[in-house]
Amino acid sequence: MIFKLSWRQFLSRPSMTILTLLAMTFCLTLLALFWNLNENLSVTQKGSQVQQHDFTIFLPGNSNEIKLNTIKNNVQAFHLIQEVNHLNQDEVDLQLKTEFPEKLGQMISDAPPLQVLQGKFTAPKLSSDEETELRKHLDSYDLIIDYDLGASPLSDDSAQKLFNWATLFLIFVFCAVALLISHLIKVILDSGKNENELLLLLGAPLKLRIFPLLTQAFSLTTLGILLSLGCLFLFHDFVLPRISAWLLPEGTPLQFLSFSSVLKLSAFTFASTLTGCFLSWPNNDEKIAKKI
Amino acid sequence: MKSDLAIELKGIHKNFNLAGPKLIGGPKTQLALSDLNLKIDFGEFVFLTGSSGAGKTTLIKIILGLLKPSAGRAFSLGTEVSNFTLRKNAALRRKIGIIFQQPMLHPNLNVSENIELPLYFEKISEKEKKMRVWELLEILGLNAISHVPVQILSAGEKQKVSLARSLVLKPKLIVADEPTGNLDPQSAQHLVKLLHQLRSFGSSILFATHDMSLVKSFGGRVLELVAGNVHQSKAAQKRSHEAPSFFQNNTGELTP
Repeated sequence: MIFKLSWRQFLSRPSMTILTLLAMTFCLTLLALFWNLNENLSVTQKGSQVQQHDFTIFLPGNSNEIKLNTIKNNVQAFHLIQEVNHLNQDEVDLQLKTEFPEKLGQMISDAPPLQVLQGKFTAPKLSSDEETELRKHLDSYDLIIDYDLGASPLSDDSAQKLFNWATLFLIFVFCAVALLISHLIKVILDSGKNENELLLLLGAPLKLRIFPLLTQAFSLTTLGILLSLGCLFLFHDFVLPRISAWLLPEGTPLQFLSFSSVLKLSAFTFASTLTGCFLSWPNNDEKIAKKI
Repeated sequence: MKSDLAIELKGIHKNFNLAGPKLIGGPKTQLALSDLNLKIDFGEFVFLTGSSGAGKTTLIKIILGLLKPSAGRAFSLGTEVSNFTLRKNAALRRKIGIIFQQPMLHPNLNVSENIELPLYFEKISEKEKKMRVWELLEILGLNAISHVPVQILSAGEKQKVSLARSLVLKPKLIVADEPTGNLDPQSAQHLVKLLHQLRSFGSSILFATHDMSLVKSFGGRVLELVAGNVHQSKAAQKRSHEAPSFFQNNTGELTP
């Protein structure tokens, strides 16, 4: 009887169940998308920090070996720099082609040849004071045409702030989805309140009253999670590849939501569902008694 | 403290707080029951009458443990119900057959499942469950519609299902709150006749109604609620002596 009641309760209001399921799926897909975006941003940010190790110094193509070595040794002697290497022309061409594909790479490689020094910093990140100090040091050599300290267009602080914004936005979406799911569950459980109160009036034990409600709520939630992950998968594998050139810089790696995030998303959704169940539990005895 | 009676009420008072804005100096509470004392023994059939708003339903809710009295003590089937909440009294209500004015059937279950429902509140074997439901379907003439969804039943059929549901646990006390309110006179007579016959099983029946013609047809003890208190109705009492058990047979069986 307990399963019969649960199953019939689940099927008793099909239009409402379908609408709730769709709304829940939409909310969870939205949350999963933001979560996934945040995760990918986090990966990209970590990646950009690693790239900051490298710097490049450009010297005239006609610089002789003595001048090159002098500059190389002087730069290497600077306390923030770990090592400096001279790149030969083939390596320079290859790097230009990798960094600037197609036309831009061709334009640069067609220009008069340059001598290139490449090196690594002693620390993964430079503070703004250290960066200024290094720039002054490099500017003191007339032979150096230009240099690239490998910094991203945004400073680390700006990138971190942007990332914080994304995280804050995710938290807002998170809260909104939690409230919506709790509300949706409360609404659908409230629609079956009369049946539950009838059981209470007839003296049904707690398990017979609570089981149909929990079955309905948790079946909807499980279906909602599965459907939303399905939607995210479709978006990730079929939609995003078609629009990625329009949305994202080329070569940006995009991963599907990690397994731990899927688990967290599910746990969060079940917690919201439980809150909805708790809020819809009949607690006003006088109101129930008045129904007779 | 326990009681040996089916129902015992001692000095019951019930006040309701008036909802909405209150007039200055006006009453803040409404008195529904005042110093009400009542004893109903096992095997008694008692009519509870009174005009609309006399407090019949309030009294029944107190007996069922759905409402707490403002003062006084209430015992149902020997257990005090006045100190506990609706939830705590749930176990007691399983032992009482309850028939509401509206049949209040579970909309997701069919006729036989609705009758069967209270059997799942207690530990009863599947065979016994089937047997009891079948018997009641037979007695109440519901066999033909046993698998019909309850939403499509007529008011009379719904009330019969409600009656069957209240009887399925073989309760020692049956409380009916104006169950004939939505029935035609013939169905009402039939319902009371069935309930009347249950006396032979030793069950007590408290039957609330404002239909005096029904009371006069059957007799039994009649209580009238006037201004929140109980009065014995002498005329009906006399009638009850004339026809103490009109439909009761001595074999202990119910006749449809």
